[in-house]
Amino acid sequence: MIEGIEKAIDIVLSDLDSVTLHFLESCVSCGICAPFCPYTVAGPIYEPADKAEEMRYIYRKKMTIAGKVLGPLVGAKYPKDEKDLDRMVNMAYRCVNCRYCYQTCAFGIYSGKLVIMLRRILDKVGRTPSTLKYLQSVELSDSVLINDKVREKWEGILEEARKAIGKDLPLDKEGAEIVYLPWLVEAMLTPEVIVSTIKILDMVGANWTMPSEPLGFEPPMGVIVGDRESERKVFRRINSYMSKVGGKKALISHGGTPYMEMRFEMPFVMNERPPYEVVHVTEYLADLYEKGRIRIKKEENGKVTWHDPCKLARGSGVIEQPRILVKASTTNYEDLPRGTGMYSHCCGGGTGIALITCDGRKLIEEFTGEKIKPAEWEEKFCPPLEEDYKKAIKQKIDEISEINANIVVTGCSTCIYNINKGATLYDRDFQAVHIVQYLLDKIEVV
Amino acid sequence: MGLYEFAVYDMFIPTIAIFTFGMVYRLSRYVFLYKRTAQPMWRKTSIPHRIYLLVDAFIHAIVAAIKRSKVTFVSGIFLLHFLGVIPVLFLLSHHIVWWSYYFPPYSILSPLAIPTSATSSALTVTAPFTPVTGMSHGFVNTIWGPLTVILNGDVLAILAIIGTTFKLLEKIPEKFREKLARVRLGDFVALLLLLSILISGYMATHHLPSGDIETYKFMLGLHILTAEILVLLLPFTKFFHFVFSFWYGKLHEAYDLWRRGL
Repeated sequence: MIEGIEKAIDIVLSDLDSVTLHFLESCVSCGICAPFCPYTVAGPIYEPADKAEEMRYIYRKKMTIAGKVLGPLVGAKYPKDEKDLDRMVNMAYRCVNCRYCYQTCAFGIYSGKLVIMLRRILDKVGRTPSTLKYLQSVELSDSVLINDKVREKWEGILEEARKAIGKDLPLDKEGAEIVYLPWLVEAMLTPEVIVSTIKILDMVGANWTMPSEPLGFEPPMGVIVGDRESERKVFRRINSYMSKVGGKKALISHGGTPYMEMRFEMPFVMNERPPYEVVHVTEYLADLYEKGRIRIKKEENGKVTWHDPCKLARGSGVIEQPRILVKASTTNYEDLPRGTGMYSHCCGGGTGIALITCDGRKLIEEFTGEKIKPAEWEEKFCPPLEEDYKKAIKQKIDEISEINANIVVTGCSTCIYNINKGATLYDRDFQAVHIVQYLLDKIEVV
Repeated sequence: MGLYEFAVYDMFIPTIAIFTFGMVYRLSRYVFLYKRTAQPMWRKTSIPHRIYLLVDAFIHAIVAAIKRSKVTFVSGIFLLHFLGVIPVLFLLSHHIVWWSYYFPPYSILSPLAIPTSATSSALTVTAPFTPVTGMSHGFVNTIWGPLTVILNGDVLAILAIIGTTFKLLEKIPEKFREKLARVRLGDFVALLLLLSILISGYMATHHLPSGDIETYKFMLGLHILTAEILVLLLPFTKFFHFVFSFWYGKLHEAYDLWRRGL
């Protein structure tokens, strides 16, 4: 038996509720979810129900009479050696938690949630990829600006923003209506998004503020690595800041994990609803546009499409707002052909996957100037993951190519990174940009 | 005592008792694990849109299967469920009589009864004579009219047998060649049990393999017994989806869609 595994299982299964029980017990193995998962291309063993089955093995062994008595005969077992852990890690990190399996399941089973449970168990036995553990430690530090290099980069972004608006930034201002919350991951992947958002807030004359330094890397990293306590800690930090400045709206430009987690999952994790509204920048701009406070210049600038980030669209219902804005800006808009909104296809690299590839690790090392030492087990884990990640993002790249789009507008920094990486990798002639960057020079304040 | 008497007289009460115990056990787990937590701020959606989402939650997996898993849709959903099991189990005339015996209000569905054959009350497949209906129309007199060509026990049972056999055969390479973790031993047991119910029911209806009363009683007894085994195993196997998981899962999904304002 692996050291600490039983304790890890006890902790994770002690959180079980009736909805998760349904997810664990109700799969009939129909396989309808399989073609919709971005990682099925890596092999049928990575179909959503197959990945979730790893968690079901453990659940049955721990919590069912048949599992306790009959064991493997009824698919009930605990991981017993390193080989089992290797397999579990492969399963747990070939899921981007895009919720497409949930959307297409004949029984409403969210396999991604079971994969996160698996990550929680793995985290407790030391099987979280070192890059994610490093980023989690960055996020849990007193300041996410962990060293001079990172601080310098952050200050550089703020300086650029100051120049763009021609005045000092209203940092940590109390009593502002809008609190813009940029994260460190945006500073690393899409720093121009932070500058553009600040410029737009200034242009529209909003009563706004922002923290003088990010409140997290990509919060909560705890949900990505599978550590509920660190999730709570980061949420507490965000809530405490919001309460300190007295903001009514938390404005978020990164439409990946942080938006969905803060908007919809935080109340479950903290068991209290935050006393402020969580708004994505597309919601904010669409609201201004519909109220007639801004106009958008329509331009002919090649074919434009909108990529629905899975956590923003399927996970949070932000589907119409970005389309209102993008359609107002161009004469040549076309939706992606394989599915939009609830049925959009994921970029293939969310929920930490892009960051744990070899390239992802290098990117973080360059950004922070710190070396991340992979664990021994990661040597055989990383190269195949890298290949599977490339296959997963290729599906999105091919979809964009089908309509010959020139500009892919989206609302998530991770999607932008993955799509642009895929476009370079597969030699395609389009570029992904964030909606605030795309609209910046098209917005006219009324 | 023959198999028929055993199935009808001895096994009925134990079957209902085990089924009831199993259902209480399974459902009580859901009740005891229910946790009330704080809710996020719901997005505003109109009542008509919520009704649309509710309906959509129940059908979008079927639409997904039509688009991307056509083989699963045809074999598993259409043949096995839509044409096979659901109409045969609930509307086949023999079964309506059976359900009504134990639950008299069920007879309200009698007008919707599906006949064994499209053209005759005789046993058309194995009858040693050409059916003579004596009716002015081409089909036996059911509410289904020309649809009786499909909606009759003979055709539906054969389609269900084809669908079930396909699902069973499909799982063999999935389990042993592709080594898919989601294919479980229980899947084979469940599908074999279902297949034995369908085949024994078909054979009993057609007095196969021979027309003597003892063989008929044995085959009918086997049909009833295998059906009873399914019922008593239902709360403990994947068949649970039929009475609970599907409905619970889809209602929860619709609730989640409302909350997120999709």
